[in-house]
Amino acid sequence: MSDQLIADAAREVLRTTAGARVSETEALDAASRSSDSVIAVLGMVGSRPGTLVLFCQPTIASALAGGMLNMAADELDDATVTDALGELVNQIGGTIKRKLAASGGEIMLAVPSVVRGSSMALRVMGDGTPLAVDLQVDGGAVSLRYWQPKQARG
Amino acid sequence: MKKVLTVDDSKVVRTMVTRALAPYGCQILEAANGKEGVEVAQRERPDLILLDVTMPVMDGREALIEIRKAPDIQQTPVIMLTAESGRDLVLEIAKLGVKGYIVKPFTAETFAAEVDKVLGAPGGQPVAAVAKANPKCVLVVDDSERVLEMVKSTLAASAEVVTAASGADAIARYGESKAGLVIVDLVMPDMDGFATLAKLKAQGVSGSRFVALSVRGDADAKEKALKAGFVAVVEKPIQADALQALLAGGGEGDESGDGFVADEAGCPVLVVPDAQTKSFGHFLPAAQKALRALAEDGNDRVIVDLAAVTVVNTALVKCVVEVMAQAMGMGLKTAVCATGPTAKALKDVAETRDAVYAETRQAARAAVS
Repeated sequence: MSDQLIADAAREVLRTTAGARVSETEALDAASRSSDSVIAVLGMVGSRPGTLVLFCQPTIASALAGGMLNMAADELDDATVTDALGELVNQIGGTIKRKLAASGGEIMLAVPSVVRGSSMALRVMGDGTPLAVDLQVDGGAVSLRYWQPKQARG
Repeated sequence: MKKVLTVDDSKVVRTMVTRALAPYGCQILEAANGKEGVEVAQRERPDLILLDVTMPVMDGREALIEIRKAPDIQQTPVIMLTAESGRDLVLEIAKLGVKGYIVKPFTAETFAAEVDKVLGAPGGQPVAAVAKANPKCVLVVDDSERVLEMVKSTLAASAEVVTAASGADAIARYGESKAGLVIVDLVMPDMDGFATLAKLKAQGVSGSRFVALSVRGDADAKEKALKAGFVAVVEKPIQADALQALLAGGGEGDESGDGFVADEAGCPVLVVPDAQTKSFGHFLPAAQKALRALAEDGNDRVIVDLAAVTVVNTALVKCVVEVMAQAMGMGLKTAVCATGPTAKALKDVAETRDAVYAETRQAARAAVS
């Protein structure tokens, strides 16, 4: 698992499924993030176990959902946006799985869960610093973090 | 009106599917998990089921087992539409019987290519109504008796060879034989090779490859032939090994998928045609079909050969990316056979940057062994 792999998978999914224009951006520090977030969490088990988290501001989440459904962001309700973020992280996980399979890695994906709210802190049952990928889309950033247990690293 | 059932726990995906199916004018049924899907299928008897794999309550694999056990719906075509694409899962699902496998994220073209197999192209004839070419039959069209005899004697041991001495004769012979490989002399009296090609293609047989015969060194004729829809040009005097290579599918692609697949000492090879040829337009769906067949046959590796590519453009890169993604998604060890500007261009693209590259098929085969 590498940040490049995660970035490639996320770019592919965001472009193909959400029709987003994607470019690299500087890693975001905690202070630059909005206090309001939509967070999609996907568990992975197998030879590369870990937890993949996608988060962005609600406006970006709505824009991505709108891109997926070819609808204006303000036409979408919260449930649809939440559903869309879950689907995006699921597809990113699936794409990572596909790319890992080429090098013999085998993982299985859990059903994603999505939460939204303000002033949330993200704490994952992993070790240390996660792999971090921040991508620029129209209107803001989409961030991904991947935590893996210490014994799975290498 | 045909009915299509989409089974996915994501309402967003069900909506995306509904939109993608709009051109087909069918009634859309929805279910949010496998259990609901089986119930709706038994009640509504859809013509096609699009089935996700990872779902709560009952996943797609279990739902497919239930569908195949239920007498009323066990024959219903199912296309898997999922982000899950591990080799073991694909093989297990293939054994249960599915019409297709669409891996998310998917493009509109990929989606349509799979759905067309069951519903037919929007506004067109059902796919099943199209006559299929006979891959074991070769039709050679030339006004030279010597050429006809040469081709016949060279290929007789490995194919049924039908001969025609004129374009008019070829039209009748092709209608009867539906030859999978058609070799046409460009210069003939009455009806030349280009007019003959147009008449043969108008018969609508799916899967034939058309190869032109040209005099040596006539670059203009070769270019014109490729633009007209011939997938390759063989120069006279004809070499026996060139004919054998064409028969083996190593020359160029066809519309069925079989002709794009060659063999490198037991390792399957997907031969990517040049993006400037007409056969390129048929390559992606044919390659996707071929990859599924390879996986279902138990293959664990494939070479993607770009030796015939002369121009690297967006269409080619997109095509290679999709082929690589599907191959890797099906758990096939994959190597790209490419050199020079082609390899460099693909290494500059994020999606193909990390692929395994080799300069020859032999090296590619070693890389995936």
